[in-house]
Amino acid sequence: MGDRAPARPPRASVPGRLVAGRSGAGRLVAGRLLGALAVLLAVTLGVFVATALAAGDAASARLGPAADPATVQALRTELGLDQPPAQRYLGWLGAAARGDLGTSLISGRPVTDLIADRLGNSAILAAAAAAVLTPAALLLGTWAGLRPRRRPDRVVGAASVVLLALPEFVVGVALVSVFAVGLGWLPAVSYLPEGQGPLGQPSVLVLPVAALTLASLAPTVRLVRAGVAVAGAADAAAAARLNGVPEGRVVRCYVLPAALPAALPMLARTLTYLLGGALVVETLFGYPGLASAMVEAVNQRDVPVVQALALLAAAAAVAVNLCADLAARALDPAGSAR
Amino acid sequence: MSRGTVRRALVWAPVALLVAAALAGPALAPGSVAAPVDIPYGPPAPGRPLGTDYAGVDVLSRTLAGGQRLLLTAALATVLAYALGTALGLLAAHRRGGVDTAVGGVADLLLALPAFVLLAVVVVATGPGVLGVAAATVGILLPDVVRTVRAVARSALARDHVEVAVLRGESGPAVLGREVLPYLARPLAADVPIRFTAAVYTGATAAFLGFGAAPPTPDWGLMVFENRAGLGIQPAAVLAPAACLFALLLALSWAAGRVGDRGGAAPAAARRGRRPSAPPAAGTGAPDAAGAVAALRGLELRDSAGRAVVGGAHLTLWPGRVVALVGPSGCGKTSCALALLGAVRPGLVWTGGVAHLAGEPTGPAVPRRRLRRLRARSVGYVAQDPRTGLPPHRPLRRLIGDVLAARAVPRARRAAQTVAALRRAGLDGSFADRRPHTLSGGQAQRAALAVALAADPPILVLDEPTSGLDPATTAAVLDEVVRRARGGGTAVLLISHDEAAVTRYADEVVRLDRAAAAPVPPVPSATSTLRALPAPEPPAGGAPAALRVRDLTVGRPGAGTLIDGLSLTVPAGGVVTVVGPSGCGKSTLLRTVAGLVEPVDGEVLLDGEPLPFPLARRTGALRRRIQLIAQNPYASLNPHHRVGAIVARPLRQFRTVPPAALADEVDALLALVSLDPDLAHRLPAALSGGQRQRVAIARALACRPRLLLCDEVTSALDATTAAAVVDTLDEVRRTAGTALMVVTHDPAVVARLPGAPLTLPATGERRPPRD
Repeated sequence: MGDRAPARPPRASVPGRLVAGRSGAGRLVAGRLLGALAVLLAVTLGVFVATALAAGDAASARLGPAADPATVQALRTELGLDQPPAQRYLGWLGAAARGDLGTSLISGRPVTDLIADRLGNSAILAAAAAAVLTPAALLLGTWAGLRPRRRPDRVVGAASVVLLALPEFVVGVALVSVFAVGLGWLPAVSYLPEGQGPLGQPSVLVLPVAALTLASLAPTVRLVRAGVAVAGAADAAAAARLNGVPEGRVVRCYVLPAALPAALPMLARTLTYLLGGALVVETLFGYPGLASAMVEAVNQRDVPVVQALALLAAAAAVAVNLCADLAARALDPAGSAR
Repeated sequence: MSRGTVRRALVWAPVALLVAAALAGPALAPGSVAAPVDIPYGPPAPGRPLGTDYAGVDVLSRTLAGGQRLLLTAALATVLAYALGTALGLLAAHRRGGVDTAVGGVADLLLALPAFVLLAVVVVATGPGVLGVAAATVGILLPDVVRTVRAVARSALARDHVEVAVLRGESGPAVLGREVLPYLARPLAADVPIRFTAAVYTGATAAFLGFGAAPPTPDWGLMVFENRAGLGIQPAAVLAPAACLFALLLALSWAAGRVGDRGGAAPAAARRGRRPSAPPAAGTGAPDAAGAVAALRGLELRDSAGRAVVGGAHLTLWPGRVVALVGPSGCGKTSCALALLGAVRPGLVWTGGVAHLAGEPTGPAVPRRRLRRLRARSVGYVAQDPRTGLPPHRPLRRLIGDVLAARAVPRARRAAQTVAALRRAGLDGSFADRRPHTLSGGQAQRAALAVALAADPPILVLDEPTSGLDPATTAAVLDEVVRRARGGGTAVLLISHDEAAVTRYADEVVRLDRAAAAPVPPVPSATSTLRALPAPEPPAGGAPAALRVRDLTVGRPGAGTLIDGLSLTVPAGGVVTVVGPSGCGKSTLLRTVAGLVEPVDGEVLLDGEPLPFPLARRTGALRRRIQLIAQNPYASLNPHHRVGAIVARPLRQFRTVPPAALADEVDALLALVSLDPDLAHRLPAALSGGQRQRVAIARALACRPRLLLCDEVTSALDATTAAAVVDTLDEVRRTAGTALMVVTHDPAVVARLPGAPLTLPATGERRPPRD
């Protein structure tokens, strides 16, 4: 039989498989997108019910307990609060879909303006933290995971126990007391002049980024470490080592591809956690981002702002989780990590 | 009293101390927690060692009082989250379908909002205060608890012992309570400290954000927030509550880590395991036998507890010769082979002996890099389980390329060598682009062989290359590998418990014995009440057939038929053995009779009575009369129940014997299957595979069945044990009059049972692998 013969017949069948795989993947992506949209829709309902209905009457909250009932009633009509809840929800949802997120009860400005002012600042902070966190977590986690129960692993493990016990605001206060109050190297408050982004003054970013990173580093490192420890001791890696494949290649081609898909969804959860952690860090440093606006709005019960920002946070979280999920599937077609 | 107890006490002591101090804090506070006593941010003074805060209140008093509320809220939230999460998770796992989707949806919804954003939304709804924070904390903890419970419950529900209980007609709550709940205790308990820590963390952060109690309340998080402006003037007002919080969370998360790390019972042992207590001297000269390519001399391996796993093994490999390493399972065959390659399995310690590979010493004392080069030059290794031995995502071309690169084969020649290696292993060149996860078990085994053969190594180590493969293909591939090895001067080490393969290929057989022989329990000669029982319901006139299957047709999951118009009769007290190639529907036949699979056509009669389908339509009395003994004795017994309870359960369920006689009946049943009644107090983990399978038989017999369905009951057992189990089954048949329907692929089982086997024909195409 011809030496070249075997290459042919499978060719005929392989494209079929590939096409099937691709449309399968397409269906998967579409299904996940639909699922994500459904979750977002459910979030809008949950947020609306919690903030607009359960929170009590926005008109009397705004005017105070001593207000004239007629004035309150007039404001209720103006704000549309006298309509049935379902209609209010649909109205709000429809407006949100058109890009109208309502008006702040406190400042009277459109919520979209507030978002436009602050979204960039928050995105820069989150991106900077993710940019420091991801490589640090991968390096430390791999380093420890490949040496299970030996000194590097125990050092990293002990450090992560300490870090896990530190809430963001405690980390932040400690950083401020050392680097701002004690040494005076960095500003304690991230004050930014009106209309100016943090990139013009990178020093205001250092402490917030450090606090965010330190607070989310430990769970991420642990995840990577656990995945690498399992994959590093797995039969596949052991067999490759026994066949003489160099350690660097074993780690790159056998251990990490097996470890990361499993860690990705949890990694995504850590990244969405950064969104929540930003609430604390932005508040602590007075950083002019969306999260500090959210905290102010909650404390002032500024419902439209809370609704809009919660929705935005949920959308970001769902998007990150979706990407991680799809990436994990792309990296691990066998689903062996699940 | 034991060291473990002391260690546990030491782990929890700091936590208990801190928690107690925080709870008692308000009573310990020396001064007022709300009334100003000095100027704002006042310096330390007598009676006020930490000075005052932004409102002039004593920091020490506030700090002491600031933890109680936090801990109580967190505890409340944790308890609520566990109660709600366990209920929802069990419901989702058991009901599946719509309920599962709904519960999953709630979990997804809660997870879609980052934790603190969820907190913010809930606080807007409830207003700031402890209740809102507690509700939000429940919402944050809930999804993880639900998911853990759901996952554990689902995997428990999928285990054979659950199937056996369902087949026996146990109710839903009984299945969940008896068979599933024991699995939850451990994972849930292990997570309690983690969840509680998260609850404390959330509560403290909420207080810092101003979502918790209103200002005069002493609260650590709130204190940090209020006083942070004065960090430069009066740092104690911020640092004291922050330090308290940190200490509490640190103690909690440290303890959580210790609890979660249950393997942690042996960290000390594992640490010891790192250093071989007697490192084998490297370079003690070449192996004594001239011409040998690899040798082990007096290898001794111990586990972390110091027990010898391999005691003084010798092994020599010669060019062109096949050495087979045989012995009962658990005797250290693979560990020996790995030692020859210089690797020690985790948890084992190399305590004696030397190893040489291609003229160089190997062992834990040799640097890893040197070992790696040595192996690249000299060894091809095929791991035991091809499904885990190859990374699922890497194309075979790359896998083979890795080995060729390690051996410094020039890039230009790699493609040709890759195809050659695949072909030698019985695969054509098109497999180069396949990834292992797309291969069948047999193809994966051959792919692993191709990787090992790629670089033409002078030494080939094959770990159980015949396990779990169809014999014809294995033989063809192994024949070729061994023929080439003999011709090309390759030394082969074949690890196998397949006697046929060993006699066929080996030039020399090295037998390993279990280093420490496990005590064999004596077989008692007790009599069973079962023997004295009247014969089970006499057949309703005419032909004494226990089971009749008429024109049975069963569909394949996708489309087509798996069993096509099959008829058979199992006489009362008789036996029918069913054999056939894998995928022919043997197991499906049994599962259809058991009621787990619904037939397309035909009928199944028990004692002349047609059996209804599906299973749910069968009465308890009917279910009792047919018992299934599952393939895998490691999955068919609930690991949390003692043997006695497992065997007694059907007796209780069907009230076959008065409660007072239960213990005696259990003893008799155990004796009937040749088990020592003392084993009743053991957990399944303390039994061998054969003993477990006997317990499964005793449990089935406790139902007084008319018919026992045996699904490959010997496949997980070694040959001697398997024979004994089959003999037990046949004896039960003769003494208790229980008819047997035995599905097997093992000719030895067929030979030990009376009558000719019924052979099911192979179906047109292979069934896709079950997983």
